[in-house]
Amino acid sequence: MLDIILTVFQPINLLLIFVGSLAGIFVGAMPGLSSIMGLSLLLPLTLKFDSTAGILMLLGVFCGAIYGGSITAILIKTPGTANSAATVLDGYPLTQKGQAAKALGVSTFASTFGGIFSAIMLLWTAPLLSKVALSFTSPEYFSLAIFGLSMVTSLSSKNVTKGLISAVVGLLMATVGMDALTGAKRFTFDSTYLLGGITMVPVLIGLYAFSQGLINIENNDAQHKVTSETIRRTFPSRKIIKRIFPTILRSSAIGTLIGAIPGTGGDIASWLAYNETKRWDKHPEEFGTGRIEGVAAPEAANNAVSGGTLIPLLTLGIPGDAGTAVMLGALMMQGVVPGPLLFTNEQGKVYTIIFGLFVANLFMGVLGFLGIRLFAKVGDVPNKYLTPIVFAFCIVGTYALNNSINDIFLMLIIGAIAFFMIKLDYPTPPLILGLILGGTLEKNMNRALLVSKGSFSIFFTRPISLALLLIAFCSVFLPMILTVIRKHRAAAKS
Amino acid sequence: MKKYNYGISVLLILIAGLIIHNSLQMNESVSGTAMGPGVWPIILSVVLVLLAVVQIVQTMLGKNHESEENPIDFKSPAMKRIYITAALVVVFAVLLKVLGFYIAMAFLLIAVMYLLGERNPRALVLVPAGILIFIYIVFVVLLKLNMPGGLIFQ
Amino acid sequence: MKKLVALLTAALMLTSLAGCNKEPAETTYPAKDLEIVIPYKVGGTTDLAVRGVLDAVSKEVLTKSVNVTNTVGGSGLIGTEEFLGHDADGYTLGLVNCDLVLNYVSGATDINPSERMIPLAAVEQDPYMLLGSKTASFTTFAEFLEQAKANPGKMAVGVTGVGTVPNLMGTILLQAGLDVRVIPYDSAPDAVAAVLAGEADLCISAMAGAVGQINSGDLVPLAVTTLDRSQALPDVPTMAEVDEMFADVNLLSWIMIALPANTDESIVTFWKDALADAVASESYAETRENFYFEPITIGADELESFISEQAAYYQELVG
Repeated sequence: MLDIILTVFQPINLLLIFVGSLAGIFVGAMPGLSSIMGLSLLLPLTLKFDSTAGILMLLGVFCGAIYGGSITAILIKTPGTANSAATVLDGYPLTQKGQAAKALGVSTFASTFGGIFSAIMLLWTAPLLSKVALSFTSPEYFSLAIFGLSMVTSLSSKNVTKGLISAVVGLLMATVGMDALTGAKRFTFDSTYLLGGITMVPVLIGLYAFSQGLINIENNDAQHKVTSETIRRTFPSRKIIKRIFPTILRSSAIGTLIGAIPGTGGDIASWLAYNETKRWDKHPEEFGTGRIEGVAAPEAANNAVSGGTLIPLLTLGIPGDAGTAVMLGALMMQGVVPGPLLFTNEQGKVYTIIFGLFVANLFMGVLGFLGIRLFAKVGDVPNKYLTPIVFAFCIVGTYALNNSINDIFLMLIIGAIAFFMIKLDYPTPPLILGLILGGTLEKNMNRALLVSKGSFSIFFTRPISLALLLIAFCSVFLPMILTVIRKHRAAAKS
Repeated sequence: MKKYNYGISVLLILIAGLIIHNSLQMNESVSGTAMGPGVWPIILSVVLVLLAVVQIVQTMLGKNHESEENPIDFKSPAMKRIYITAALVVVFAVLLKVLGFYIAMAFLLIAVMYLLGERNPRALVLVPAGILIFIYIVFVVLLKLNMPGGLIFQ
Repeated sequence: MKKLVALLTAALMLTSLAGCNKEPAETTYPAKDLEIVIPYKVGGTTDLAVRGVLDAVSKEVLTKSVNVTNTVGGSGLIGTEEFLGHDADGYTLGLVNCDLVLNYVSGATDINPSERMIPLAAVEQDPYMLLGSKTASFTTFAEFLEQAKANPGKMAVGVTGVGTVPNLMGTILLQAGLDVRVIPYDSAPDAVAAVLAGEADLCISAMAGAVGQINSGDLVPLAVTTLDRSQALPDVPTMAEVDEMFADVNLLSWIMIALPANTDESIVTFWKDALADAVASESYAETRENFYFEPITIGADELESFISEQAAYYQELVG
């Protein structure tokens, strides 16, 4: 074990992790640049070093990119990827209140904690969690998606009907494109662009950032003075840490678990963690107005995914998402073949990766805290500069994702629609949730029905699937039933 | 808010109708699946119609606790800025196709800054130039991405 | 007036910025940097194989760099359309692979690779394997066939989605009269996971997608889907060897770098030579071995005939 620690602590390796984390934070913070792009850009570079060093650098990118996305999500309502979409809900209101530094401090602390938590879980529970990964088959994925959708009711507390409409529209958007199971072209209108389906990032940027830009233009007040925030500290106070600790612990566990299930990732994990935090919080009504738990939960969860997602990759050789697919490529290029034999035959490599993940998260945290004072300056930029800058980033980020001008047009259209959605009280998060989960839901329903030869009992006879469906059912209907009972009692008393 | 709720509900029902119409025409005989490709969109569209009806009923009964205030004042100066922005974005889209990214982006940045009350010519040049140089360095030099050149600068 | 001047200055500055990529045409090829459109995501096997070959092209032959653009979506059709949207001036390269040919044959796209592209070199060619779990009730492909015949509708076979070549394995098995449930997954690793989790009894994957599990013995390669055996696993029989009803089964994954049709003859020759050397180079052999890709056997002069043979075979399967 000591020699592994010494390997990681070699100056050159520390430097590479550091460079990796820095590059990761940067690509994560730039909308449209994802960890995947960061990883693949550095991939050729890593081949120049020996295998351990190259992998350590990639781990830095991997962790840093997830965290980086939260910075722009909090400051300018522009989540770089779906991973940070939930962070916007309470992060951006904090910025609007002039508490950007506080929000960033909480998110940095939660991200670092989540990442380190998952690295420890990877060390201790990898064999166990790899079994969990294999207990997920089509019916379980279907039920998980249903469970995810059950969040819509709590995400749209103002008006549930409007929230559900928004979610169904998201689910319908997810059906556009070539149906992978049947090859049928759905709602593509003979356009090759639509054949690939509606891409997540343009929708996300349009829905959140571009529409916010429009609202800033609408509310523009030339006389408006920006209140400069006095930043006394960037590291959260002991009081705050104590307050958010249960949240980040729960969210880290959710993130690690969801990460360990192939095919699910930071997007779903961060929403689930946000929702569970809201469910167990004493003041659920304050969520969405800038509650720090609402920042801590998704950030702890999406960074915990980093360790979780390495579990099926290292133990089974199965990449759970696009980011780990690049990691798989990188590992194979270095002559490391992930799979059941890796943990027995090449323990040294495995422990180096785990310990490297640990150090990468620490560096990420340090860089994050050092950067907060700088990042928070965004709050001082007057609207007449900030809104055009946000527009520029919306456009360039959307384009950079896939070199597609059509993506820019999609983003602009979605932004205009979102402007009216906000005006008319249709919540936007359910739409994102619908778009994230729509494909998983439909494909796995079809797949499960193929397996069961058309019998719906497959969803209810498998324990994990049944449990997820029951939780989903309860989380939707229990609050309603409780309200009815309470009213009934109150009526009986009077 | 009432008239918007009715309007949106009707719009959603129309869209759902179109989707159902479209889905019914999808090739149902595709082999190898339990459900044809059109089934799922049809299910969703039916749910959407139901939700729209619920919204109409709730609005009629006044049970959705919404303010009676008009959420959008189409004649306010604030909305005028939105119309101008919409027009600018359309011009941007055309410029992007024809003259390419840099000119279109410069136009949009300068125009939006002007709209937001910036009148200092130095700022109107330097801020967009700074943003574009930053984009050029990060995306083109470092990341080797080609920004769209448009029809002229291919 | 001041404003106008400012605007004009800005516009001028930016025009010059936009123009700096342009260089005067020279007589020697390549006179400027080139682009290759890869219609698949960064870091995937296609991406890594193509980048591996391009890296192996001698710097003395190719003096300019090739920038990679990954345009993802629509089973690779979006990127392919983008590639063909460029002028045939030799400065934009693209790919033709098994899935594109299949999509043309099945009518999903109008792009006929044989007419629209000139293949330059094969960079990857790999047989698919039929894999079963080590805990399965069968240990050979023959036993699987027996059990599938004895229990109609019981065996589940994991393939990938419509529009990808592994999907044709479902068609092959069904056309052979077997009553099996064919379940399409999003990707080969997902199908592999389904076999490990017990949802599917058999799956189809290239070596690269399952090598960890094959090495550990958790997955057993039962048969190879090409006419010849795999070089990596010479003990595994071909499907044709197991049962003669599969005599003409020849499914393989292949990728070629291509130029648009009508590209200048001298440019085509330039690339054919450069890529032939790169594919045969030691540095690419190393990449290939790391990813468990088989050596390339399709020669530069048989690329076109190989594509038309495969197209005819797919045509036979999809009808």
